[in-house]
Amino acid sequence: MIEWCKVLSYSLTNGIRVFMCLLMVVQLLKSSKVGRSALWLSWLLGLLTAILLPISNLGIKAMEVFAILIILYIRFHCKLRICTFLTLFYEIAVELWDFLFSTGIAIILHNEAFMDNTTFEYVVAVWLVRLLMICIAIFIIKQNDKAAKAFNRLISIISVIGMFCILVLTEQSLILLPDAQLIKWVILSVILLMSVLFYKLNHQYEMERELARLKTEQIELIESEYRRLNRVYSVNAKLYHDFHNHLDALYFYISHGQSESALCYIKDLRTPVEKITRCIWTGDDAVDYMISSKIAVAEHSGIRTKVSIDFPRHTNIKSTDLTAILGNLLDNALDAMVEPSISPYFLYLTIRRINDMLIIKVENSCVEKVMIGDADIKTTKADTELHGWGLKSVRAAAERYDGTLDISCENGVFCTVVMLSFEAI
Amino acid sequence: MNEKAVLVLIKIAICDDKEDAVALHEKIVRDSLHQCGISYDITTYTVSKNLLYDIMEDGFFYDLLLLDIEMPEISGMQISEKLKHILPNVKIIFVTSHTEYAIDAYELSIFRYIPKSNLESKLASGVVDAAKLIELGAKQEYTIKTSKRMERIPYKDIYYIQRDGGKNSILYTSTGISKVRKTLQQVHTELSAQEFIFIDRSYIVNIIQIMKICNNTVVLKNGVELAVSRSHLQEVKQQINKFWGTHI
Repeated sequence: MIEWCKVLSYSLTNGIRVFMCLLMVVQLLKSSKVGRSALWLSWLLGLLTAILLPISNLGIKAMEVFAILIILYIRFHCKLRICTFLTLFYEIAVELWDFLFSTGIAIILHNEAFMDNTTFEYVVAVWLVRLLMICIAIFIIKQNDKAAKAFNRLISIISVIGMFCILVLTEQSLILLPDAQLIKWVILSVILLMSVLFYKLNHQYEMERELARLKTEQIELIESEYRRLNRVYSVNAKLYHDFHNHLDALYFYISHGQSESALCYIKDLRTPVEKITRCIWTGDDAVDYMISSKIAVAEHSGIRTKVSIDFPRHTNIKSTDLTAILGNLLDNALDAMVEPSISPYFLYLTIRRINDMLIIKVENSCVEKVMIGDADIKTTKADTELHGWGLKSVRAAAERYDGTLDISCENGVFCTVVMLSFEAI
Repeated sequence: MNEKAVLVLIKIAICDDKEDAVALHEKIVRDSLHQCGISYDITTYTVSKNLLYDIMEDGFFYDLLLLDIEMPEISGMQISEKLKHILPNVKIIFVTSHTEYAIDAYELSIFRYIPKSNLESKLASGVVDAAKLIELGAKQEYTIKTSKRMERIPYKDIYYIQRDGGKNSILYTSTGISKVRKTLQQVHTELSAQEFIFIDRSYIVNIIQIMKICNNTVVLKNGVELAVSRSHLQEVKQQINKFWGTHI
């Protein structure tokens, strides 16, 4: 009877431990919730390890770690390497705290039975640790949005306190503990502290790297547009410089009665000027030129275009963000038009102001097979490293204005809608 | 059944100091709205003072004003300034001979600027877009029936609905507050319109009344700010995005 009780108790404590591990990893890596199924899985795993415990302690531990990794990989789709790192150190931390609690209670109550693995008192100590874990789990689940931050803080605090407690244990003389054991735990707690630090640094590094990549992409986009604008303006400058030569030529044509040739000559000269003064869309020269040039490219390739823009002036929307959004969206649309199966091609750009929000909509003809998987369009372009970043850049720009990006593809129309909230300045 | 199709009549005022311009604008508006099957009622003015007098003194109501920005006595911009408080939701379309006018971000009532050089097509599309937005949410009404009263509220007048205790809801509208003995979920099902979304377990908001999103709060036209629960935020943004994406 007691054996059965013991097995049940162990299954529950192990289950809680496994669940806590899953919660921690999923929270840190994905900032999402674990479902109810995780609870059941943890308990099942706990039961399994409890039953198989007498076989080999270390072997069972290894099996448990493997099982957790499999659950994380298959069920929650986490990266294997970082999961292994987190799980291993989690197990070490739990062992440390089990040891601390059992020894601590033994010292406080002057009862060495707590430290013995096989006694009932030890089980009580372990349960105390598990209760603490349950409290932490509830706290994290309740916190919702700030959970990740809270969790990070908690992990650091726990590892520091663990280290401190171990040091206190080495100094106390109420209960004599074997040196080897103490040293082992001191070293492990130091390693634990180091691993926490390492993890934090790694996380920070990853975030900064992503930010840097986004910025570089944006800068490249702006640079290329700026260069194009410069080129057109310089062509214009040359035009005025050669003006008197052109006047001479025109004088020649007209005085010889060749008005047709004169007209042709003037038409040739007018083209660069026309390109610049054709349309004012947003009031921002660089953005307007970019829109005009991309639409010109589309029209040149025989794509039916329609541009309808109502852009409010004096907003806090930065030129760089607008360029990033429009540039990427129009580029994507133009790139999609090389598929021969989707003619007639069309490209519609609509920008409207609704209340204090700006809605940007780009519609173009599309192939049905665009994959909309996992909230991001998987790129069909050959170079997966650099492309596909376009939409991420758009989303990042939109989120700066409390906005978002929505992509849909139905009835042969690929539609991207970006919404931004602006302020009048 | 709380849905009843309502006939929506868009009241339009056209004002230009040149008679033939007024006639031309009127013709364009009639043709374009007729094509879309939208009912309208047009009143024309050649003296802007009369238009102002009618609205301010005689309480005339208009949904859409079509004005020439370069009228002699009072300019179009001054009219928009004066009408801001009396007709807060009016949409104003300015016809201008310049090409560089643009809507200023703080001028909410200026719907669009139409250049005289491209009058026919731009005015037609401008009027149709304005009419569609005015119609949005005006066709359906929510009926509240109790033993003492029956109230019909057009959808577009509902700002937001708040949960009141377990089984009741409070509707905040442009005319005041209405209480119903229905749960928020029931009200949502009865409304069955795309523009009403849950931003939180206790709030339903009318997308048409959302001015903007600021951090995690939704700011409404009447100045009320409601917090969106974190778990709903992305979804709320997507819903607003989708809604306006299909309506522009």
